[in-house]
Amino acid sequence: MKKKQKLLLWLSDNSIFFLLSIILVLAALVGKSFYTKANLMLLLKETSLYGIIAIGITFVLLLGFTDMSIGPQVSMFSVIAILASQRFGLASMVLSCVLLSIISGLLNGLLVSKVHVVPFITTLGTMTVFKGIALILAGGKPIASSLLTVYDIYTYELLGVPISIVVFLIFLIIAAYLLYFTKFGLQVYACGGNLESAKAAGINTDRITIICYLLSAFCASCAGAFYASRMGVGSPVLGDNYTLPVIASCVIGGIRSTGGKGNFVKTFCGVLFMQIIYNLMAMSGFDAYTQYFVIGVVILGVLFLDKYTEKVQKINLAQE
Amino acid sequence: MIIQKQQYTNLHADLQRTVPEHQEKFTFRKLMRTQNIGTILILVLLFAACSLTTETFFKFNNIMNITRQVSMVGIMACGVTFVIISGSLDLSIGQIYMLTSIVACKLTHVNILLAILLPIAAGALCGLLNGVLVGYFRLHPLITTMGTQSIFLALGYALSEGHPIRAAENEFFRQIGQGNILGCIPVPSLIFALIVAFTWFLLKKTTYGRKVYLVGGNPEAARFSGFSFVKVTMINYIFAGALAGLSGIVVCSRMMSGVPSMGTGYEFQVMTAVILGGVSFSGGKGSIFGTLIGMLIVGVLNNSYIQWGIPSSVQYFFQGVIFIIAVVLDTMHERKLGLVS
Repeated sequence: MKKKQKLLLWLSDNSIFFLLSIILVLAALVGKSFYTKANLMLLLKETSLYGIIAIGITFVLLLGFTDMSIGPQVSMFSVIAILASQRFGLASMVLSCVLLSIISGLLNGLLVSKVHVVPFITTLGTMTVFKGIALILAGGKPIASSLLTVYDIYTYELLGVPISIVVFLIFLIIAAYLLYFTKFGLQVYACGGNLESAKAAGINTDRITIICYLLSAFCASCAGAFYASRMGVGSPVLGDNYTLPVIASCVIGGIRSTGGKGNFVKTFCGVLFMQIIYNLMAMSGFDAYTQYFVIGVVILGVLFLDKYTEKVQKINLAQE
Repeated sequence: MIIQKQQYTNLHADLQRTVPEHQEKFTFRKLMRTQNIGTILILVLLFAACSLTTETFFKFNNIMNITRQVSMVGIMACGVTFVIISGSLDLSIGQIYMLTSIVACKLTHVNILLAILLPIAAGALCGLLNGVLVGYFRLHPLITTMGTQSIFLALGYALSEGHPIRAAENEFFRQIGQGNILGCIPVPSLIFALIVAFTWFLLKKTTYGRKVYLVGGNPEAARFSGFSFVKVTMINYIFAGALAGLSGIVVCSRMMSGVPSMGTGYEFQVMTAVILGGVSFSGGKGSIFGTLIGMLIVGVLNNSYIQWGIPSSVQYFFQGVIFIIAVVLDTMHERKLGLVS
């Protein structure tokens, strides 16, 4: 392999770290109040909520599948959390979400693995179903909780660190452990790399698929509960705009769009990168839509890099 | 010898006995094998249910109203059918639709002819961007069009400065979206019908249509036959973009305004119609007729909600359930026929 190619490959493999450091330097130059404690805390809190959703969907993306229903799931669970807390108290809030997430995860997982419906289409359908359920449960409008203790979950601090950040870090560690130190993790990468040969190697691909969708739904439900407790409101349209940014930040983080490549550190950096862009643009007074433009361009740029890596690797494989 | 003949006639009689049965079975099978049979049944049942339970559904005006309502999404769906049959995907179509409607809206203040021609060109240009990225550079269609979607959204907002804008008053322009021909047939429906006829001809009766199927069904074979994946994909995206531009003009004329938040969610409506119509996401399968049926199901369904007074929250639920049932039936049907592994 040529030295120049090697360097470029290394660069494109770790592109997210360079993007992140560039934006961090830029932040120091542009936003005067970026490096203040209050802003960084806000940024991390926001990142942790997005990050919890992103961890779940990373499993699905690693398989080379998609989950378009992730946003409506978040809103559905925010509504369920509020309803449960009204009726059965605070403890049931998280519990009901986690238990019900098994159903939504199973629905996606079974349709994809057992009925063999294309993942994109399956989750497009379930997306509408979840949105419908959220709207029916909430009666078509955001519902506020009369329970003031609802806010306690979000404002609770463990050793001075907000609970959402703690939960996010715990999830990150567990997910990384699952992916790197267990048989399950290896099987996920194997399925993402080549589903057919994974099946031929004796991996129960259906089981892996179902587990990944379950994890995705589980993370969405936790995020839903947090969003509900942040505002004390469950909104049936809250998550509609989360699906694309979350998937986009995973892709920016270096999850290959066809599956089988990527890890959680990069996913975290991708989410952080997106949030910093939002934060900086809001701070320096750009209108909201310049954000969309920048993010669109960044997604395309990352795809180009990804394609280049793939191409060079293929050529090298052929030469060897 | 005689015995042999006897046997032969017996056999012959046997055959004659079995053939009609066999044929009967065959025709039933043939019927079940007909493409879109499931969706046609759903459409007929829906239509019958609506006509029987409400007095207002089966009226000429209401039917015409349904066709007017479906025409905007329908025109886009025809273009997207090409893209999906050739094995790609377009999530940015809703934002192209929004962007072109704002372009049309702005241009009505300048020149009415430009307001009709330039949006189509703008749509084609957006399609060209998608086509170059997916066709020439071979980027992943789903995520690429997700990226271009947010670019088009940003452009639309930049053009309209973030708020709904009004179109200049012009009688001819107003007729495109709101007018009737012969006093009863809505102009958008007529445009939709023309587009359906044109795209059906293009897909079924020309060599280009064959290329689209081949590139989607078996890209390798298409390459060895000398059909360029790049060219077909690029033309498809440009075509879909131009049709989105056309429907942008229609919607602009129908509302006489351009709304920058309008496009969100339209790609899913288009996708719903196309998938209900039996277009397979693995490429190489589908038809304009199927898309038309899918579009009509969506239209009749939307109308029936209003007829039956179903609240919008329940609509979402039903729409999703019907969508999943249709897709599951379609997938199981395909697997039974051995079309997919």
